[in-house]
Amino acid sequence: MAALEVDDVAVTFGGLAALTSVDLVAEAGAVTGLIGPNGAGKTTLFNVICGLQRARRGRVQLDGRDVTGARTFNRARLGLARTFQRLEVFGSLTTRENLLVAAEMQRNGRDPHAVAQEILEEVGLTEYADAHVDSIPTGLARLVELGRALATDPKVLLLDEPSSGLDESETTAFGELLLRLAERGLAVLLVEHDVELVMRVCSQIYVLDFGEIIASGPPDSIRRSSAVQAAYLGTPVAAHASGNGSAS
Amino acid sequence: MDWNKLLELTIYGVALASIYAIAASGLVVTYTTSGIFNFAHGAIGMLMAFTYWQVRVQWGLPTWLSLLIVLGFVAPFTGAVIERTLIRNLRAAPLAVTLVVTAALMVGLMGVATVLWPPDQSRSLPAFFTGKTVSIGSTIVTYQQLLTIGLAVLLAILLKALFTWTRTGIAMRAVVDSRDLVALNGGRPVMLSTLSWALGAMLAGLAGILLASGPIGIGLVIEALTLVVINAYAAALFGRLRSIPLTFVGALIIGLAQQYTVGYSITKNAFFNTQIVPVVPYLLLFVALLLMPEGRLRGAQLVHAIKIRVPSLRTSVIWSGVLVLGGWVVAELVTGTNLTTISKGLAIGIIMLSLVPLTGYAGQISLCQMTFAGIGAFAMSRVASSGTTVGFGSLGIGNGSPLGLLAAFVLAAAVGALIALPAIRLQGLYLALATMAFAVIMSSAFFEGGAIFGTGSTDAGAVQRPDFGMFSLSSNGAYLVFLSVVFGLVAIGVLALRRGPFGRRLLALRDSPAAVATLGGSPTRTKLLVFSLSAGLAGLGGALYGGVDRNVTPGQFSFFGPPGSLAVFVLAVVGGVATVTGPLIGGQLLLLVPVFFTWLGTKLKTDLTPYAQVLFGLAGIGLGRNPGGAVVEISTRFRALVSGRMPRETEMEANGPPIEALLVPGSPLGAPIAESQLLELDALLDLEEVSGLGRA
Amino acid sequence: MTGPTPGSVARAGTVGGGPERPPVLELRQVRAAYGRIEVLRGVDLAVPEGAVVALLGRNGAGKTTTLNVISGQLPATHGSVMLAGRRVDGASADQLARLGVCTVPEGRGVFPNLTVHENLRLFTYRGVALDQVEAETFARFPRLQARRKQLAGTLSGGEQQMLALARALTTRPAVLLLDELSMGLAPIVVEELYAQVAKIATEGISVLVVEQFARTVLAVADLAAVMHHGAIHHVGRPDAIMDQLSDAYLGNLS
Ligand SMILES: Nc1ncnc2c1ncn2[C@@H]1O[C@H](COP(=O)(O)OP(=O)(O)OP(=O)(O)O)[C@@H](O)[C@H]1O
Ligand SMILES: Nc1ncnc2c1ncn2[C@@H]1O[C@H](COP(=O)(O)OP(=O)(O)OP(=O)(O)O)[C@@H](O)[C@H]1O
Ligand SMILES: [Mg+2]
Ligand SMILES: [Mg+2]
Repeated sequence: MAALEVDDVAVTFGGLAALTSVDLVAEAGAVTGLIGPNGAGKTTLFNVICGLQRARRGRVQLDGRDVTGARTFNRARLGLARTFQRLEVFGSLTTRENLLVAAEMQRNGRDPHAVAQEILEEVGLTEYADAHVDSIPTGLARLVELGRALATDPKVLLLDEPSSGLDESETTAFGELLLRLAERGLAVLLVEHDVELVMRVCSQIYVLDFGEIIASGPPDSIRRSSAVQAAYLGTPVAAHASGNGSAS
Repeated sequence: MDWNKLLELTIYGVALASIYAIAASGLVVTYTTSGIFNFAHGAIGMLMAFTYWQVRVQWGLPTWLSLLIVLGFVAPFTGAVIERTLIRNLRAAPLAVTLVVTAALMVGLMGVATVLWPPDQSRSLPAFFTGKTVSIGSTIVTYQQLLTIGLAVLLAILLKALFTWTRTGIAMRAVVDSRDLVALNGGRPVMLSTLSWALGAMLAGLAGILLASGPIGIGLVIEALTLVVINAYAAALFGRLRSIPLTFVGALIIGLAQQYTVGYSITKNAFFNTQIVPVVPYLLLFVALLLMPEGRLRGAQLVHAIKIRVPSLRTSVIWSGVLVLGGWVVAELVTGTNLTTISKGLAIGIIMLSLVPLTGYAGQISLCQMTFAGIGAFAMSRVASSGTTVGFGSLGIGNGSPLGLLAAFVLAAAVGALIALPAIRLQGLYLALATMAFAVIMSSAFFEGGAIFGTGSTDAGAVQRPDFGMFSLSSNGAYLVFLSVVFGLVAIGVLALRRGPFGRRLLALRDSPAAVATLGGSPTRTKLLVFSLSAGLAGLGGALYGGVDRNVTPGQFSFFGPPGSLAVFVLAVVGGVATVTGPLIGGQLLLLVPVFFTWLGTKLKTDLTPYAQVLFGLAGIGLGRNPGGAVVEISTRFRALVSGRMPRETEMEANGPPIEALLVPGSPLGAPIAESQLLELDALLDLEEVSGLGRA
Repeated sequence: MTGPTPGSVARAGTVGGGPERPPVLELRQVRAAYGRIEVLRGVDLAVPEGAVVALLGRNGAGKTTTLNVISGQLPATHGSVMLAGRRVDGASADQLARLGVCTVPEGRGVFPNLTVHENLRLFTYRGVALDQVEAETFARFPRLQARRKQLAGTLSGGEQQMLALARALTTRPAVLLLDELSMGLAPIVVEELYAQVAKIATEGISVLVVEQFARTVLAVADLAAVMHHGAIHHVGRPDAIMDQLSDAYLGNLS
């Protein structure tokens, strides 16, 4: 039984279809990638999964439990956590308080302060523990959001472009963090435009285009898929890494 | 069916609706272009109507010239000045602050009008086209009615066109989203905002003049003119404060509903006619709000939250002790009505404390705290008395049973939860307006109905002081000390709340409800809890407030007061609603300032009440500059003084000196470039041949 | 500090074209602060005509702040900003925008409560007709055409970024300031956009790009500057900077 299963989800806005029959599975203990062109419907799918957007059709299951009609906070209590593409941090609270708010909503008997401290160290934010979040750089604020999601002790973690605003070294470190999380048994669903990162950490990748899954499989097969290259990647990715230094 | 009557009522209704539509569209103009709901809109209209009277009647200028002077010059100028001095400072200010500043402005302008045009003289405006009428069937319609309806339709079309089809109109709307981005798009945010407020004031002025003159006119009465525009709020909400055509429809509904309910006494029930009919617009406002489609959970918004250090438990206990000591000293030194005034101020302070978790932490606004206070006083009067009382009987537990206080808290909290259930899904401004409507409706239909606190000299308004047996609270001094103790305890509790999980969650909810939900918290439940808690505290405060005079009157629990829910909210925010000292100061200000002005007035043998109103307005204006409230401002300056540093700018002003300052010749950055130089530069830089730069 | 660059094509026939033309954009010892916190501590930077200059640096180095100063959104507390050899640090953001300094800010570059069409309408401030603006935008980003009447705030993240960038591509600016252009965009779109930026530069427009993704931007830049702690630390050819980056900037890794 998969940690997260999405069946035949469809969403329309006005007349435009944002998602048409999407199926997707995210297994525990792995990072699953979800990539696709802009406006393909990735964020919309996240909103459907966590209950912020109602689907016209389809089913969402967490650990085999149907949560299609459930309210957002009830899904969260079943172990679903997410971050947002457009930051949704609690700006008037400090980093530590952001984590505390999340930890305090759990009823797992753990001391919220201990959880917060542990996560501060894990995501590397101890230096900013007592800074108000609206005054720290965007990239780090994304880490606050990640930490906050982790503080709910989730089973399924949805990450919407978490690496934007991070520089290369931070991105590398971030990738390692994701792998560590997966090792711990989390199901991570990652939306990212940094293809290098996606290819490095994901075991399974779904490609969404115009609201439809056009390809899925392990990184290598995605990299080689001509449909994916045409819709999303452009020139083969390998050329990207070495294609520098020459001015036009 | 009397068709003539129907026709007549309909025409009257449509004409009235047209004035509402004009007023409401002015409200929509300022809201869509600055994001600020202008409580003072009616007051501006009132001021313009009086100015028009001055020019037209007093100075005897011709109608067209008077209109030109007032609507073409005075009104836009007033709007522009308000924008430049007040509104500009409210960029990204919390909603509570923007509401308070404009509400204070409203009171201030009413004071100004009273000073300039003392109400001891009766004034009236001639109707337009006096005597000219046409008849439709047997109904006589005046030219002014036709003019009003025509103007309203024309303005609706013109405004719709301005905001959808012209670049300037679109840029005016864009300013709300981001001033910086407007500038990056070559627009001048400063000018655009000024323009919007000038336009808004013009529309307010037009509505005011139309209301004050002619057949459906309500005459030149300061309060009536100011408040009738509140009826237009409901109209604007039918258009969700955005759509001009829907606003027009809303205005029609309200105008007609009002005329029909007045015209046809639907029931012979006197209570219905005197207590319900006058609040029909508010009922419609309430309904319009409840019918509003449920928005998605709001995400984060760019709002400057003022960060305030939260005192520790030890500190708050110590300061509460100091407060009680202070209360004791005052009780020893002060006597008579001054003592009871201070006591009332402290009780109002407790009611204001109820706003700290709700507004200060969770960012929600309630404009009906005095309603809850009244419910608390009601509970106290019924539970803790032994005598007979009109309506609802008495539990007769005994004179002054402390259970009365518990009952006050519980009943108010329950009513709070009940009203919150339908209204709580509303966000921000809409919740604020729903509570306002609730306050007005409750005041008319519940408190003033006679069954609650009587209509006059009956003992129905009697509220007992709690009686704890061992210490007697029957002396006014003892009661003041008791009030200080309660204030201290509630303050300690409120601060403890802020330091704990619930307080954190309230702040989180203010920042991003969507994020709270995805973390497993129910935004609705949290809001319901805090709203209900706040109502309960207000109820407790109300019961204690009633005990000061051992008697209450319905007017005290109305929206406008005194003291009234509006003033309680305004002064709590002016004091500093995210702190517990703010309510202490706010409560005293609310009670002591009028007393001071009355005292001074008798010394000087003039009525100083209008000046008190102006002062109230200035307090709000001060808030616009220091959105944290008086306490935050004072403590920041004090700390700066102690540490020997310059006072730090508040966060709102942290963006450094205004650009204009740099344009002053001889500024440290050297000579600024002149427009002609800009054009020259233009030629130098411009590679494509694009014209019209640097001007536009 | 900045030598001749491969990309700065000498162009004939422009106004006052002497051999010693000043850089189109130049910053001299610029300092700036938010409140009391100084963020820029003496920035020197020059963008020659028709060149693409990449401004790199870690999170919080002050790149966005630099752009804010150039675009007139934040006053400098010291130093000067020159356009075509003339000081402009007293000019307001809207004056500079009308002059042709086009800034695409980091994130939130659209008006969320206006429709796509209304957003485009505001791009006409440089005198390019609305029809033209729309035609060029929709040609470049066909996705936006079907969403003409949609509120910009409900567009996907990438679509919003496209809309914001349309201003740079349709208003015929003289100087282009781009903050994190690639943020939230699919690789194929980023690649196309950079090709576009390079093409714009050959038409004589000077471009200053701020990026985190060093590699993509270095492929089209003529010059690169690395910012650290509010000052420029290295300036040089992209390939040289790339090497330094691997040492100094990537070397900081964990
Ligand atoms: N509230 C809405 N109303 C109308 N259309 C919407 C709404 N929300 C999203 N859309 C449209 O649905 C499509 C999918 O949007 P979504 O945000 O899911 O894309 P995405 O895959 O996350 O893209 P990106 O990578 O650019 O973030 C977009 O074309 C967007 O314009
Ligand atoms: N409005 C502000 N008020 C106070 N400090 C700010 C503000 N904006 C930025 N800062 C601070 O100024 C410093 C420089 O910020 P800036 O945004 O210029 O960095 P950046 O190089 O663009 O970083 P990033 O890569 O994260 O965009 C940071 O330390 C940041 O925290
Ligand atoms: Mg997205
Ligand atoms: Mg930046």
